[in-house]
Amino acid sequence: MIQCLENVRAGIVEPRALIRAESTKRSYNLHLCKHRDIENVHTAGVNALDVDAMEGKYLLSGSADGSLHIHDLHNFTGSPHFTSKLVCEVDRNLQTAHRYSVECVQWYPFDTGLFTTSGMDKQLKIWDTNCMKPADTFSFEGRVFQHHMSHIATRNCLVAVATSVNHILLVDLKSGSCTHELRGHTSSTLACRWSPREEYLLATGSCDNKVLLWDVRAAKCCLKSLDQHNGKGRSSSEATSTAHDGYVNGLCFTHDGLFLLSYGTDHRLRLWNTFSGNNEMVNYGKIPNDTKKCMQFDITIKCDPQLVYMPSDGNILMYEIQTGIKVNTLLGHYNSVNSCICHPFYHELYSAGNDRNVLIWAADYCQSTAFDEHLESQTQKKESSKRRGLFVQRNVTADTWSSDEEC
Amino acid sequence: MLSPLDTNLCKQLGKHVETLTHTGQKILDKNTLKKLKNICKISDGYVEHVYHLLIYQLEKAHAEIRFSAFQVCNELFRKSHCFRELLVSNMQHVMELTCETSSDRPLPLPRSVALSLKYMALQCIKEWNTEYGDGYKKLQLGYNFLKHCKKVDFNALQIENSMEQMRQQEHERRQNLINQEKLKKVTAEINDMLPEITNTLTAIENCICLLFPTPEDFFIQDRNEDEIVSTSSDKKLGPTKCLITKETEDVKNNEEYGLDQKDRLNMNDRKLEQNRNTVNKGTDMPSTSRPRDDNTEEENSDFGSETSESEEDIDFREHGMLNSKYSIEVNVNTDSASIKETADNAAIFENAQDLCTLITNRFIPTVKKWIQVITKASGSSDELKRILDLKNSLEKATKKYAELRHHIVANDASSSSDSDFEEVEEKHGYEKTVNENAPLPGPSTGTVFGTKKFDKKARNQSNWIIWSEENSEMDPTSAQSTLSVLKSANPAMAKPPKKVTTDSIVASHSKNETATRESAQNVNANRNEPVPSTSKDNTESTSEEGRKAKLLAVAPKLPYDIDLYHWEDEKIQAPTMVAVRAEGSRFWHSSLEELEEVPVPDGIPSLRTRVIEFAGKFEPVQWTCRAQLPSGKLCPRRDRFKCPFHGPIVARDETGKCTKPEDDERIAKAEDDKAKECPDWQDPQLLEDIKQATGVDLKMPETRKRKGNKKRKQSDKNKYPGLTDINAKQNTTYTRLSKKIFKKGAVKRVSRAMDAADHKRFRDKYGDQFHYMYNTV
Repeated sequence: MIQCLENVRAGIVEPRALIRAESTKRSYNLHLCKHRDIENVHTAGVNALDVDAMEGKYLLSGSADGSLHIHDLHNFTGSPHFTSKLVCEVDRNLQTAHRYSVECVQWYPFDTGLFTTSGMDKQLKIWDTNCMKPADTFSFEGRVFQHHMSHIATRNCLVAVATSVNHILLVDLKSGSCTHELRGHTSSTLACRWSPREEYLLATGSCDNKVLLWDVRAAKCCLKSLDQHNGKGRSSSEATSTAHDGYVNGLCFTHDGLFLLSYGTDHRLRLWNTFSGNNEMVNYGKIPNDTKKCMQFDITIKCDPQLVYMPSDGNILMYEIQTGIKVNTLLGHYNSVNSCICHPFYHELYSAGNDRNVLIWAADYCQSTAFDEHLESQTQKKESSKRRGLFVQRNVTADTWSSDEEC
Repeated sequence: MLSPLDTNLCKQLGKHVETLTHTGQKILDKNTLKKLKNICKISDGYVEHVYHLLIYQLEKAHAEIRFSAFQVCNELFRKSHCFRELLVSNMQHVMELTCETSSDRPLPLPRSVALSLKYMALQCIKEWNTEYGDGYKKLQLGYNFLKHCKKVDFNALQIENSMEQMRQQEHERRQNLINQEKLKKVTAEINDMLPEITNTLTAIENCICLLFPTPEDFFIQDRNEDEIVSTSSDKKLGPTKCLITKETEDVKNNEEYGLDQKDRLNMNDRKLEQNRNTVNKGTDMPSTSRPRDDNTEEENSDFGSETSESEEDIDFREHGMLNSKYSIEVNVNTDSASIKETADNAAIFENAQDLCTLITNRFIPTVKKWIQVITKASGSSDELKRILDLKNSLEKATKKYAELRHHIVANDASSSSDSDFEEVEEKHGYEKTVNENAPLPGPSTGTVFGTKKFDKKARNQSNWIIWSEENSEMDPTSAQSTLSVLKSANPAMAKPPKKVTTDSIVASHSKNETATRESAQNVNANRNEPVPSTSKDNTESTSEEGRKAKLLAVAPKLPYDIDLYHWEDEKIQAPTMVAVRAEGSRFWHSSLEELEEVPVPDGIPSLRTRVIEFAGKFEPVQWTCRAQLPSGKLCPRRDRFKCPFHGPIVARDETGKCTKPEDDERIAKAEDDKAKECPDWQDPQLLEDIKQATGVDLKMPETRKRKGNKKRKQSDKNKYPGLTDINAKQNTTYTRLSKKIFKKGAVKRVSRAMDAADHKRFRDKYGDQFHYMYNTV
């Protein structure tokens, strides 16, 4: 890294190359973060996470018991050892809280003063962060599995909502009403995502095994139904083509918006080209996935071979998107993982699961060395008692084969 | 990096791990463990290998193997960093295998070892966390997971089912709410009903007081009461003593002349006969010898000049006493008392009865309910105390009343029988005429007319009364009879009434004779010297009846049947029947003549004969087979002649061995025969021939095969003799029986039989109906 910095200074290497190299290195080396924690306040499994895109400071999480929590991620203590404190919460017992499990949470992309949540109580709530009260509430006929707000939409303010009713609904926050009803799926919809490239492009996944692409300006019918066989399968017609052999319960666009990843209960992950709508035929292998609700997964930023973090049962699997190579398995959760989210600025991953934990995954090696140095500087200042503590600290991970084992 | 592993060492590792984990012991073998550790010390590669071996053992479905494997894991965990890394990375799986964290995968049998495994694992994880938690984040997370999500109380070290806990809490909460609600309701109810109850209580108290005054209600001071009991008296105490006697006499008199108006006015306890007292006298009994008029006069004066009388000796003369040197003994018999029910106090009785039923039927159940609710809702103790007091007082009142009723009974019965008397008399006259008109039927039919005896008796007795002892005792409905039964049952109880009779004798000397007294006298007379005629009558009838009873006991009993019906008919007409025509129609006749009646074949004998089915008498089998079973027990089958498993029943001793040697021999021989016996196609000679001719050995290998199976099983067992055999448990009588019962063939057979039975029933019942005609059902 120092070499790279030197090269950048000398003008040999582009700054962007440095960023890419460093972020790639970190993204590949994620581990369970040893020094940082999220304060454990959840009383039920955590279903959804979101980090605000403006500052990257607030982590919003929604629990299976209907409560919402917001943690402050910024560490101003000066020590790498840090526990993110709870900033505010919506207790499940409050009148305004969701009555059942919260399935999806999202910050308003342009301001932390507003966030949206939806859940099994068939409601989408728009919250005012400053007073922690819902500014608006939309009720639907079906349970809401996912909703999404476009990160790039400048002219409209549409929220796409996937519910257990067959139609995708578009809610306009400006008018406070439900404006569109996208009809095309024949079963309950589990996932919906706006493209980060095209303002009006929406991808939706459903229990009828289909992934549909929509242009919301012409909402009469879908733009395209993605076909896993690229038209070469037994059913070549558009109406019967399927994206998966099971429910589609996760969707994610790459950051450039050129590719779409879909995750299905057939234990497959598929990569689609958003322009042609073709299956890119990348084989990721079998990824165990039995959840019948929306799974949130995320893709790294500014990383050269882009990586995707897939929650699968109790583990998080890392894959290279373009090649389908499995890079690593992140072990840490004790129950099925529901949501993975990448920090928008740092190369960190936040994951939440049914074991009520929100875990931070980071490339620790540089931090841990920094922490050791920090400790050393401290011990130099302080007396020997501290040193003994350090000694114990280091001894924890060492082998202790005793010499009296000879027989 | 890692040097390639030595295969020999790996094999050794495998062997060590297997020996360590398959001992079934709770403590690991130290030597083997040392060897294992020594190999592991060489490099991390071996540690990894051991880790995989151990996980493989942990996954085995035997709690003892898992227990030992986890012990080895614990040993290595404390030694090797590499092992820790590996184990912690797979912590979730390990926890599932050892702590039963997932409900889908319960720990394997045997249960006791599984529980201790769980306990040990939790303890180990706790220790690991305190020791190594800083270095291994996931270990900490696992610890927290157990603590918060699985609700492990690491102090008590047990996994509690969180769902169950929550459900229980919820249930408790709801129950509490319900109880509170109930408590509220009950308090309101209590407030509503309390005045009513207290009113009822006071009412019944008053009733009882009116009917049965307490000693305090008489004009007797407490100190006097003591003296009443005392048997000897001082000279100086004489006056007061005398007064007392007089008073008690008054009481007695009042009792006896209960109907006397004057007395009633004098005393408040007029309807009461409080003391059945025997008055023992040195000389005479003053009161009895005294005329009635005198007595009343005295009473009137008594209450006026009480003090003067007590002071002066001379006053005794007025009582018929010559001087004061009498010693008078008065025994107040308090334990037996009786009350007469008269027209005057009937209203009180009725009222008291009503109140009592109200209390027993309504108040006591409600109060009990309140108590239940209050105790359940853990209401205030004061409230509870209050209600309990209330309940006690209610119960006391009812008890008191019940006692009162008990005392009433005798007189009650007399009065009721008095009223009965007239009715019976009327009936007599009526029945008499009936009896004269109609010839007297046999005794069996004569329950209605059986009163003739009484009639005779009435004639014999110049002065018949229903009260006559024997009569009322004969009548089972009268209270007298119950009393007599009681008396006979308890001779001790019979004594007090005798005192009554003596009393009444005493009383009979007085002039005024009321009806009741007369009756009492008669009772007395009857008891002492029974009327001869009636007694004679009795003895006659008893002797006759005794003979009859004897004969009846011997005589066979047969149900009424057709032969009895025709018993006395000398000439029986043979039954006839209408001949059925060939056409089979009942209606299509040309004329009436065609309706010819044909005598039934064997008509007459069929009416004379009786079919008696002989069904023997079932005698339960008294003995069990008691042959020795492989389990060491004795065969518990109870067969009459032959056990299906052990042959004919023979005499056996305590251990199940035959007592007679010849039996033993016979059984042994039979067994030998059975073993030797082989089907003719398995005849060794024949087989030999076949083998020689064709070269094919047709000998059945069945027995050998079975043995081989057993051997393999045994070898499996022998391989790990320390382990508890989990499968052994499966082989219970239940499983064996169920295997037989639910065998496909057996089920089929049973269903076929049941179908056939059904079919038969339908055919018999509805065979003529179209729906059942073609055996479709």
